[in-house]
Amino acid sequence: MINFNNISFSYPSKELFRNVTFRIDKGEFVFLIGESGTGKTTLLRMINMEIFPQEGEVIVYGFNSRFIKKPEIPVLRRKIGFVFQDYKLLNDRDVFENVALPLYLAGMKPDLIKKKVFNVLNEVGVFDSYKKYPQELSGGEQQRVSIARAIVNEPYILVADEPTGNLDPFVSFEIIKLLLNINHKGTAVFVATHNYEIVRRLRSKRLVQIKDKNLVEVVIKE
Amino acid sequence: MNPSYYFREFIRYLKTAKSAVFTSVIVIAIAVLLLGIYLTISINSVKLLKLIRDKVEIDAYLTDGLSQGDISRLISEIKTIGGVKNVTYISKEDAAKFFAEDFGEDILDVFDYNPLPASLKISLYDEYKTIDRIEKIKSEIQKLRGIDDIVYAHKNLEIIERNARSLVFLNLSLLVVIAFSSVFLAGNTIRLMIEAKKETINIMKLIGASKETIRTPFIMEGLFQGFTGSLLAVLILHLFLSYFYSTYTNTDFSFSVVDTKFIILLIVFGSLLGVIGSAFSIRKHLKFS
Repeated sequence: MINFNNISFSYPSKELFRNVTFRIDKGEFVFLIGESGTGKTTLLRMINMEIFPQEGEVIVYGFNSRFIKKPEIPVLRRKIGFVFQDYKLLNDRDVFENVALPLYLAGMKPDLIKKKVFNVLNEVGVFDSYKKYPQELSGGEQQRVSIARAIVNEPYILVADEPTGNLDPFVSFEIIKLLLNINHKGTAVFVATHNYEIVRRLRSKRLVQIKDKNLVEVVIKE
Repeated sequence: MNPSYYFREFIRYLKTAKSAVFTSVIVIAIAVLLLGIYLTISINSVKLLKLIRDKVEIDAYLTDGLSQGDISRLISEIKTIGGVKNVTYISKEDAAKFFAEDFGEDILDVFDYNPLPASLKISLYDEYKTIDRIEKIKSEIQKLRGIDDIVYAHKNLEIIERNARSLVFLNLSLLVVIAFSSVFLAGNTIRLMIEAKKETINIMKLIGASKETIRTPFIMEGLFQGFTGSLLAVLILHLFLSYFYSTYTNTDFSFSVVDTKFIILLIVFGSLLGVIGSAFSIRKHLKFS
């Protein structure tokens, strides 16, 4: 589903990845850990084709980073659900409109949009807040809305960049539980985090770590 | 994409940035107004110069004692000279009448006799109304028997010829300056407005909005601002010029004011200003990688 084939990437001042090969399959739940500045966000942004590797290729649902055309990038992004640490909700529209946006972008009819948005708001637990604006919500609620927006279009994969970064431990675990539920329904989930407590509690899940400019599989012992 | 989506987004952008939209409309109105005032002044100054030039005629004064046959011969001869459009005979009596009309006094009350000579009023084709060409015509008329003296508005023509070129140059320079300032002013205001929505555009891109989907509501907004601004400018210009029309129009000169073509031109200019300003301003935010 997602393949990183021999990718290398450097910023002018820092080399981040050297010949990394990595794969995420359909329905998997994968944690990505690594110290700050090691390239977790950069790696996720390669999936969204915001950033391209200087060597090698990233293949996401058949879209190859080496050959993708610019007009195809929005098409790819509509197949991926992205959750950000800072939620990236639009403050000029309410919860309903924020969540409905990917469906409008997909050209869906208003009746169907309504049904889908209310279903997903119910699923993530912010149904009652559908008329509220992002600034009226708590951090946890905003992250739930952000997750609702990411999954409303039924993406193949949900990519979350530090989804619990700004949340307290209790709310953080609630968010992770939500991601697990989404994964149970068949959506692959790829979560970058530095919340080792959560990673430890979910040690049955696949865990990869950025180490020495490469990705290594990690197994946490009981 | 559903057209209603674009319309909703357009309305949302207008509502969330009311003061910025207002500023942008005013700036476009000022830009279009400047252009409108400039064009009106320019059109009327060219019209005025043309009017002065149109009025240029040659007066050929005749020696006393010419017979009707001599006068007819003179008229025929002058008509054969290249550039001459028409020749009208003004008798001594006609000249006295014109004197009375112009000065309100009978010439015979001033003098005991009529000293005004008979003359030929010679009108010329437009392209011959230059000093060089009139001088040539004048020298040919001068050769004819029965001509005493020849006069024409040499000074006026000299002023026109001296200033026509600099007027055209000044007009073109002003047009360039005003057009560039308008584009710069309006473009900059719209750019600031779009900068304020940078984050929204970025989020839209991240969740899969295409360039067209992001751009279209902004273009609609630009069109709205341009159209409203230019409409406002046309209204102000109309009021302003109506005053000039009543003040500066007389039997000789009709001050040209805003007509339909002119209104359409200004509104198209303003609308384009809004659309192009938006298209250019949003361009740099639409890069996907």
